[in-house]
Amino acid sequence: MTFHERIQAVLDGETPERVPFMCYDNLLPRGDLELGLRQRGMGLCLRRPVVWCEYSHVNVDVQAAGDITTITYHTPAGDLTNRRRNHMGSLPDDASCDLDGLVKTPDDLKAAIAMVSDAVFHVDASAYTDTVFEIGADGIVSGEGPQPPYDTTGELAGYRPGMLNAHQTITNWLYLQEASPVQFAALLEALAAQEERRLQAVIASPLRLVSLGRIDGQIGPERWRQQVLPFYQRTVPQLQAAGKICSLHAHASNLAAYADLIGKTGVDMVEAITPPPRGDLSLGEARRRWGDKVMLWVNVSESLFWHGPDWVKSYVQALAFAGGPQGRLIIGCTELGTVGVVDDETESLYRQGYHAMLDALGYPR
Amino acid sequence: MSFNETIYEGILEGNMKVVATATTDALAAGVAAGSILNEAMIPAMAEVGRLFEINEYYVPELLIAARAMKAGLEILKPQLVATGIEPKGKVVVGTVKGDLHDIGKNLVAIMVEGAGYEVIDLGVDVAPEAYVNTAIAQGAQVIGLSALLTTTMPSMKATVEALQESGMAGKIKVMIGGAPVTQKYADEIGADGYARDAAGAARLVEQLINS
Repeated sequence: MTFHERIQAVLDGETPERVPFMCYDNLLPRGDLELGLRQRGMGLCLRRPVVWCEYSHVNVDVQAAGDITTITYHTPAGDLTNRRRNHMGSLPDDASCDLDGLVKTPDDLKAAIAMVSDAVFHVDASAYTDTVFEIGADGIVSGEGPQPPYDTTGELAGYRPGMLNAHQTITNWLYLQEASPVQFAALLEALAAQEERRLQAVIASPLRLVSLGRIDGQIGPERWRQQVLPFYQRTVPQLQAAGKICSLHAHASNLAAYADLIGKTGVDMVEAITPPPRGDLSLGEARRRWGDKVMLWVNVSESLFWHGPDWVKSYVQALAFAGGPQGRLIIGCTELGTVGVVDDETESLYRQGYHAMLDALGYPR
Repeated sequence: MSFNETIYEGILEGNMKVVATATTDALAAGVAAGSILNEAMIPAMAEVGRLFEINEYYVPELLIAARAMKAGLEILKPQLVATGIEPKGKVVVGTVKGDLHDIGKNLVAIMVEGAGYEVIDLGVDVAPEAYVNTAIAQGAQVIGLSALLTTTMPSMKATVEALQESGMAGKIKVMIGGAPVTQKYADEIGADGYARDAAGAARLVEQLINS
């Protein structure tokens, strides 16, 4: 079987001859490591947009000073600005990072509502279809669907999981909710309408594997149940009725507390699930909570490579066993890949770790 | 409800205004600053930590509780200084060299400070020598290392080695934590302790200093 046949079998609920091994393409730069892994049977998951967003009444100014780029959005209800630091060295996120969000104080909420309300989505799947053609049998292409409005309020406030100044931005996000609850609720409402527009565009697109938000574990299950779960219960059935496969990126290390809620989302795939020792939800427990029909795309954290290839091989073999039905399991790396590897010793460790995972799953050398 | 009970509850609820008002009123009524700190604020943050560890509180609740405590502590500080009440110890924290992520390190700083220690926060991208030199110069008992990126974990080992070279290993303890870090890794590099989360880090500081 080619990788594509293998992953297609999983997506169609059939059983491939081996558990597919798949990584996000941006985590493994093109080179001999990636090529060698691909020749052994690894597949890549590439993410491409299928819709684009137009703002008819918002103008954008970009100014650069030193290594800081400031983007100003002129909306009918006022200006919003966001600062980005460039040239960060070998770090994730293309070596740059947002320093703050568009919404810094309650005074910014009105302009944010105006901008969100102005967003119109158009289908343009050319990047997606080109990539499907180019990757051929070596991978699959997924794309972003609508996002939970509550998560997007966090991003507007500057908070994204893994970002560099997360402490400041998550604090800012919390204070916004507390300081201006009425305007914050209005922003949520505007975002819900925006995501409904995006949903219709995604449904009309050829995208099959739709990525719907994430769980990073920071806000807690009760807040997630109240603020985020309704989005999935509203959105997933519409996408599934249109023949789409819905995936939730759940990389939280404290996922056990969310396990029952994930079961209520109705998603077809839980992606980036990271079992112990890094995370706290075992695959056996995940299967017990979510049933055999949900596809599990398991993340093997690169931090485990430090324990050596033999340990990694045994670990992945145990995962493949615990993951249950072979037809509903994908194993790979969804975290950092080789990002930040700059010395020969670490490079060698990573190389051995990746190959040990393929050894564990029975891919020939 | 006594002033201390009001402050305790106010911190658990994250109610900054209640904590600030009750602290001011308690001082005006003659309640000793040390009593407010040791019988209300520190126990409240310990309870916040406990709730965090058992997954009843999450990052939002922890941050809001810490903000409430800080509001009271700012009012309390001049009295604490005047009465000669000192922190229980000093802890140097930072995110290791090559890593610029701050949230885990900041949560640890909040919880350790909330447990009554002075925290010297070196920020992010901290070189091994900077931890060691600062800890020695400031008379700190514990160094806390945080990492989010797997590839920066060797800097933890380098810091442990730098401390050994300084001759202060054993006198100054090293604790490590962060998403990719495990107890196994801590054992392998010779760190004195590993904490899975911020609340665990605060308890670990107590253990390391008293061991």
